Amino acid sequence: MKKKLAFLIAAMMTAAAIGGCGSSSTTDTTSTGTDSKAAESAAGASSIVESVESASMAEVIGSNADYRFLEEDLGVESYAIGFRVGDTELADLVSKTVQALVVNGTYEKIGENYPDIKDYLCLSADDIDASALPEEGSGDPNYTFKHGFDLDYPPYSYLKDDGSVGGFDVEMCQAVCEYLGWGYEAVPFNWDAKDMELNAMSCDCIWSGFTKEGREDDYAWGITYSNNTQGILVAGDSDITTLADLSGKIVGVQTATSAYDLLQDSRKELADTFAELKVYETYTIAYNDLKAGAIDAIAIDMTAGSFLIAGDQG
Amino acid sequence: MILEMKGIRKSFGGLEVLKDISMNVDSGEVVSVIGPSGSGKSTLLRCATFLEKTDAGTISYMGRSAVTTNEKGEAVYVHHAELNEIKRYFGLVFQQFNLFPHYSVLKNITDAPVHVQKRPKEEVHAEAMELLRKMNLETRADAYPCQLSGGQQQRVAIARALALKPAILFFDEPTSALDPELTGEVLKVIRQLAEEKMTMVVVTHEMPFARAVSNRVIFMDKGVIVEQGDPEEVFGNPKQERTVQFLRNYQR
Amino acid sequence: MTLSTMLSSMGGGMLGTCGIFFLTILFSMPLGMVIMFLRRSRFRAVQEITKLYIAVMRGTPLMLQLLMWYFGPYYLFEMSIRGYRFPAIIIGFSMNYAAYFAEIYRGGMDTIPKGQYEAAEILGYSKAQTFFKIILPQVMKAILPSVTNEIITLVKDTSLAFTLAYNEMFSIAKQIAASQTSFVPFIIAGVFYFIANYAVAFVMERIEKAFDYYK
Repeated sequence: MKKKLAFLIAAMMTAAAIGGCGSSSTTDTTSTGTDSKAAESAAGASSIVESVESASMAEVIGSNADYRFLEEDLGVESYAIGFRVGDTELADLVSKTVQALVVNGTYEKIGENYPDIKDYLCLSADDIDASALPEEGSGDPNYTFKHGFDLDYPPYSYLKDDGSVGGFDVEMCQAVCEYLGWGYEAVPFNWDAKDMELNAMSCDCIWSGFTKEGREDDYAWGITYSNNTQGILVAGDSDITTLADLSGKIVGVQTATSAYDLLQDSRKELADTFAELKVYETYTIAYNDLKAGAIDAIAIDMTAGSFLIAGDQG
Repeated sequence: MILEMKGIRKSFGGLEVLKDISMNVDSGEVVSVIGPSGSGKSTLLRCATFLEKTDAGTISYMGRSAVTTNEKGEAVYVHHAELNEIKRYFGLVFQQFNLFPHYSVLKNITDAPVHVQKRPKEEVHAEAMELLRKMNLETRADAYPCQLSGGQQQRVAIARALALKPAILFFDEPTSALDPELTGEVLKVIRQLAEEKMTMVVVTHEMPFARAVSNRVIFMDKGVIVEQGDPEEVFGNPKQERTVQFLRNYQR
Repeated sequence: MTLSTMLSSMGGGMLGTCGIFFLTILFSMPLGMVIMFLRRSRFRAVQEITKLYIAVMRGTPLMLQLLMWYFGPYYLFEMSIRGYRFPAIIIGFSMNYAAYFAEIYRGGMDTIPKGQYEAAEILGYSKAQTFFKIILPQVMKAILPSVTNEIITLVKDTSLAFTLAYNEMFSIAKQIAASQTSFVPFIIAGVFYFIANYAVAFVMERIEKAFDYYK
């Protein structure tokens, strides 16, 4: 009985969390993100975490809560800063400044605040030519840099409960502006609207755990500062151990994530062996389907996938 | 005897509206029921037509018993099938006409005879046209109620009631919802029916009409029949003080 | 990606959208009638239960209801939910919209004067005849504008099916928009919804006209 009650409460909380990603209206269909990145997955995962904490969902899910990633992965993606096509000068200056922040230790210091992604930060002072970097305070003090980012993509960028902005990318961008002497303006938006925001000049860049692969030509790309690995998540007792075992199975993926793009593009041959590629609005639902046995595996990035499992077993 | 009502009592939430009323109606009789508003005359009609359930008393039509009283003094209705049979003896014309707005005039009249009484369509149709002629509405057979004046609507409602060939026809203030200049045409139709010896009970505020058309007038006040008798007697020489008062107030 | 490939991938989604739409209408409108009768039942307990049902259906997000209908059998009874996705969506939509339709019908019933029932009773119509011949046609006329509103809302609500990973038109539009960094799929989706709702409005207007012969 307790289990059933817990389900009701957990489902309610989950739906509330999902609804909360955008506006809370039930007819709003554009509330969740639509792009290739782990952001949504992280958001989905965090809603599970919330549910667990507030409704002791752990007991419900704990019954078969043993999940693992296949050893073979689907590929590595890089997070970089996207600028309008043609804005290469700005992209170059910001990238160089990021390098300067790597050299002076700010990059690593901000990374300490975000243990979940610390291992994925890929810049190192050893690889940087310190002579070609911009001077501190060398920017135009009258210029305000407009930072466009997903308002719900922890830990890279997000709106805090009190309405202020935070996240690794936000802190980095603020540090860049401070270094150059620019003003900083936060432009948080719904992920669906990112291209419109950028093209309408309401922001100068998209810097929000933004995956470069697959859209190399769509933006002027700045520096790659973080990466992530895409993998396949299955139940612990599943007989699937290799990618080849996925043949004839149902695999879930969240829409507009890197994993989704991979399976549509460079790993399409693999996807074609699946019985079905089930596309979800959020990973939370896909994860529930995996637990219920309605699907066999989930394609997801390692960070978000670890979030899901950790939240579930927490 | 077409209608016999005895010892009818009716209360609405503690307020006694009918206090031991008895009323008989003979074949061919035209009975007018008059009285101030709230006197219970409409409730009496609604009890007679089973739209309200009487608390106590007996009701029978054409000798067939519809309501009896048990040992505890409560009214007991006969079973459904028998009650439906008995309902065919009477018709009722409402103050608000209550025509079916989505049916044409002709269909308002013919639908119940065809689909309730299961009579042949052609026969019913011919009779309906005859009724409309009588109501002076033969040209409006295909019109819809919303296209008719109140007086015309009430005449259609009378035709609709007559099409079922009732033994007795009740009228519940048939002209009260009409503009004064339209009451005449409706009263004329009722008068015509009276001449044809149609048995009728008319609750009305039209005193001259009641006096001229009815065989008997019943004056009700506060749930009791105060006085009844020949219209000339009741109107010309009322015996009861309350009747005198009511008629005097009415004339002012 | 060319416009025609976009259209053809979204076309499959449009079929899904239409499927949800028509099946929901098919089940929810009669079911709403049943619920309306239960709501007007003379038994107090039935009335209260129906009231609670309507309150829950109207008071909680449809998205949440879809989740409950789909995952409920697994969590509550440990049943297998493989292949149950589409039925769950139709059940979820139909049960939800039936509650709204029930309230619309009830509002329509309340517009019918008591005199209509009394006239029918005096004329000897049975209960069923009274409802189907006299009351229902008038109720239908009275509720048409509200029903039109509800149907138009349904057209747009179909996109909620994506909650259960059912790839209706709008979710496909989102996927294409993301992978192509293009706004065009949203415009196509917008045009589709507009045309669909225009068609609904057109049909409903025709029906309203057909009822216009009386006031």
